[in-house]
Amino acid sequence: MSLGAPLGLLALGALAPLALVYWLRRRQPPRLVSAAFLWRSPSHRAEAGPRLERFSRELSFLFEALAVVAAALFLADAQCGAASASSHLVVVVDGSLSLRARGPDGVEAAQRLRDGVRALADERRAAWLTIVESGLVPQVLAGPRKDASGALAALDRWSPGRPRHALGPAVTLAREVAGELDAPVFVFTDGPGGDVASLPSGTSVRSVGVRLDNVAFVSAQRLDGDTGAVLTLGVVSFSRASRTVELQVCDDTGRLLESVRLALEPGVPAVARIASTAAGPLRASLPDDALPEDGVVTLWPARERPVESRIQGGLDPGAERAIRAALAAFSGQRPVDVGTPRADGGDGASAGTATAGEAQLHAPVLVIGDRGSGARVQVGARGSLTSYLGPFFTRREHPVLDDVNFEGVVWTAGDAPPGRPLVRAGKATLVSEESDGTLHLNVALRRSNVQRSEAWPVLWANVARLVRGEAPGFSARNPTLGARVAVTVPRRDETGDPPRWSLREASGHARPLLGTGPLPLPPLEHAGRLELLRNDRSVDFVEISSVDAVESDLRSRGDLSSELAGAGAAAPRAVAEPSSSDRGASRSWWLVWAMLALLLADAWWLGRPARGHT
Amino acid sequence: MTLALDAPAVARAAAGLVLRLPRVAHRGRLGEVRAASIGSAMELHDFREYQPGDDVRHLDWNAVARTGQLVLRVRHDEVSPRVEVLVDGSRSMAASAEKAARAREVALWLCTLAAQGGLEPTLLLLDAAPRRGGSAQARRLLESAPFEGRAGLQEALRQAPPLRTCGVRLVVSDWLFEAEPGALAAQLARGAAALALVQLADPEDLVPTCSGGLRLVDLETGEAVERFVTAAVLGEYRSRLAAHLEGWRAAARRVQASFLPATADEPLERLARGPLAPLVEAGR
Repeated sequence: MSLGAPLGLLALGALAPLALVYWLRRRQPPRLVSAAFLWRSPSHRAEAGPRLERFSRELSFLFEALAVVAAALFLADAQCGAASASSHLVVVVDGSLSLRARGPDGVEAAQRLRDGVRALADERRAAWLTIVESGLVPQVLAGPRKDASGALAALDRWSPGRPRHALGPAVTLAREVAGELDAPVFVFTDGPGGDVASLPSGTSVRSVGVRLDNVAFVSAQRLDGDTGAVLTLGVVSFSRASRTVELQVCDDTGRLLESVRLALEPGVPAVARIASTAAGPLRASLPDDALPEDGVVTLWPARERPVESRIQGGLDPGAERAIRAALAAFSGQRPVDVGTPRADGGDGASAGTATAGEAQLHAPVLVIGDRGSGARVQVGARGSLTSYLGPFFTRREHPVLDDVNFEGVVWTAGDAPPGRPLVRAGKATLVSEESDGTLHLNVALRRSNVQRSEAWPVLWANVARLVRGEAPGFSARNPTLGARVAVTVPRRDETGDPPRWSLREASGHARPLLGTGPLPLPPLEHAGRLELLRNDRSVDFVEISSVDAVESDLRSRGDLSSELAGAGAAAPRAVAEPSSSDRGASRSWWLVWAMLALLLADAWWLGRPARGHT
Repeated sequence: MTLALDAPAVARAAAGLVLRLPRVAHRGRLGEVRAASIGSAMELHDFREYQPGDDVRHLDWNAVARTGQLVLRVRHDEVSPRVEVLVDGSRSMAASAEKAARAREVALWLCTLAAQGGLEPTLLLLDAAPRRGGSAQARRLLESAPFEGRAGLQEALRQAPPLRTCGVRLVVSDWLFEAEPGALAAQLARGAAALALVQLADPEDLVPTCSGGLRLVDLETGEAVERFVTAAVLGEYRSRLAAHLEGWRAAARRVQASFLPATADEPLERLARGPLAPLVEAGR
């Protein structure tokens, strides 16, 4: 139940004098009689002495009290059920990027949306609002049942920018959050498209979009090589006529590096390839138009993640030489560091300093040592040695064993190492992996020839790749809106304190990361920088660009009629808009009838002396 | 204005009348003989139990030796039966000023009749503070009777001095209280040769004229009953009242007493000639 005019409840104050009247009547001078026992009806218990009698007129008092309550509720404009719902507005706002488009008057569609919601709330005298923003993952902007002023303030702070998505899930969420599964939902979007025509019944769709021309990037990639970077940019003109636009590429200082004029036919993608020797981030831009956000992309260079290898002391000299030779075969390897591990830890992730605007890439570290040394890869054999010629049984699905061919290998192994076997010869475990990722190469290289086989460098390349992949960071560098990326949190951390990993969005909001290894993230729904933080210090980042061809197409925004007319039976039924005459009718007049009925009942009850009730 | 006690009216009502005494001697225990007539003869009439205050010279030592108890020779001139007038001093007797006045007048009238017949009346006012007096004090006691008693007659008797053996016991009350009529009547009859229960009720007690929603409070117990008084309710009241009074009549019959109802709105003289006439006879 809701109260449209709570002050009307002041009428409940009439209960006080009503009760007072009844109380005083009980205390009126009684009529003294010589024998009260002769007046008792058979239902009265015969008790001697004075006693407090209950109101014999309590039914009349009840009638009158209920009439007062009914009158108070009517004056307070009490509403129940469907009528109550009218004071609670459930709104879904389209959170897609196209709502940032500016019309000829310079006003964003998002601002028109805010004005539309506010007008609707005023029109329907909504006391509470539930506002849900649509997206790949809809979210509640205000509510459930937040007071109108607070909800509209939250809407004022809202800024759209999500990739293309369906509106249906947001409508469902809105109803569930509002607690009214059949409540009418008002959807504010900027035009047809998506699933507008298939929204559930009881949905009223309002468009705040306008038809606009727009030129946008529809794809952006960067490939870094020895000679520099190559940008591959896709551009489409979502206009009604051919256009020629200038594409500019600048470095991070804003210095113009390249300028290309593109002749664009409406709807026909044009691809621009631009090479640059600049090593840092490159910013490509198109002229500002209706939606400037999709005309700017910043492409960062690929992540250089050489693996730092460290060989601990204690290894057999022959084994050490073999390992060095294998590691030296890969480019990007830092010089092998012979000696004890660094005192500050294994991966060096905590050694880098990160400012707010710059991320340090922490080199992954591969520590190699003797068996039992605690290194990431432990090489050596203990106990009784046995040579194996094969066959070797391997777990091919393990990345360490990709393309490793043990044909012709003589492998001399000792006692079985700990962990899950990855390579076996008979019952002997030749290579194993512990749960923390420690690899054991159970091999006595003096009596083996594996280091001279083609399997040896491939094995070490796989190990390096595995270690590189375990380095903290994102799987992509320059994702676009809606892209799915993964973030890796290392399983092993050589520092003393357990690290806290978190993600920080462009808005500044940070959320913790739980788990280790490659963690898939939800589709990226907000442009800008997304940072990976370790103990609140930036480790890696991605720059999400507002590239979404569907959202950049503003040519069909605004008019919903064709969409709804063409959908036929699948079109959402618009909720009946309240007319001016309905405003007065929305009062609960049944309360008035109830009050009159109670008063009539009271009059009848009191006016029954002819029938002599007791 | 109703006088608290109209003494002249009492005198007029008592003129030429005496209390009627029982014709048949009633033998009680140990010679509680009621004389059929009074006189001044000296012949021995009977024996009775010694009571404190009696002259010890009248003890019959032979009877004492025979029975071991103190027995007094009752001389004829001593066989002058006492008259005990009990007046219900409860608050219901003052339900109206008229009812209170009539109660006082009837009580005084009875005492006057007794005195006029040469009897020794004793007035026992069963009020909140029971008081007893002879014929000389009767008027004063009655004039000052407050009728403040909150206990019923039975309870008042328990608190009052014990009733004396007497020839005639007259009880003036409205009998509108909850009690076991048989037990109370037997108690009142004990030690009395004759018993008369005089009911003095207000017209409103007998035929209430109220109506509507009322809170009815008992004058004595304070019990409150809320009723919406209608004709049916009044009929129920009258039925219950009739049954109640019939109970007292039956109880009186069982103890060979008379139950004499009277209404307080009639003057004493009319009562004397009407409902209370069985109590009196022409004086000699």
